[in-house]
Amino acid sequence: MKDDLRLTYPLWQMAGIGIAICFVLLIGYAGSFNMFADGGLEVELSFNTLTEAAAIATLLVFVLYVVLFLRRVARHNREFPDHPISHVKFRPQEYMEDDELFEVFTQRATKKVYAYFNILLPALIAVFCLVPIPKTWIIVIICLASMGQYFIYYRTMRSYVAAE
Amino acid sequence: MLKNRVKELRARRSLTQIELAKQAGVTRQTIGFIEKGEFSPSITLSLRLAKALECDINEIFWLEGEEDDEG
Repeated sequence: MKDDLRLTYPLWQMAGIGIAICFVLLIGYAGSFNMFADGGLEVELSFNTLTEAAAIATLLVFVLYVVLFLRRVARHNREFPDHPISHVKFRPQEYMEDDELFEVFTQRATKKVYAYFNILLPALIAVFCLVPIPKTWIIVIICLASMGQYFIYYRTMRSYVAAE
Repeated sequence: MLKNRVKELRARRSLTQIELAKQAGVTRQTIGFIEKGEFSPSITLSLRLAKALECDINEIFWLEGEEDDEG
């Protein structure tokens, strides 16, 4: 059960969001956006030595992440043919509903995530309205909030599976 | 709180958790959590367990304090 990718899927999601944050910061600081009156948009990226190295490193980490993730998914689908991970499903892959025990665990974990967003979203809206935060950091904060969701879900499910 | 003697009845029939789980159509983890009293199964699953353990549902599950009342 501990080898089941559905259990560690939130960690992969968190890693993916971490890489996305790196891209957001790079584009936020190396890019300039020009909006034109006719509706056009121009994005200009100007890299210096440091940001160029960071961009290449992030790109390499992203490629490595994709390769490792796809290999892990393939291994999971071989080992757990009854509960395959599908890249085309809209349903979150981390849901474990093999039987009523796991349905209860999944319900408890999603309930915690719901409570988390119930508090966090109004708080973030208030902060974004009151504090002049740059757009790049607003995106980073939303990404971090999303990471929090996966962390809560993973920690909850892990506590049940590890307890057995 | 729901109490049970799944572990005792399973042992009496020399069934492993995996075998009982297979007969009841659930995962081994579910049997483990039920035996530890950390998960109360639905009526459907309780009936399936009773069938697998070949006994009455009341022999497997009872409410805490109920046994003392009867005795």
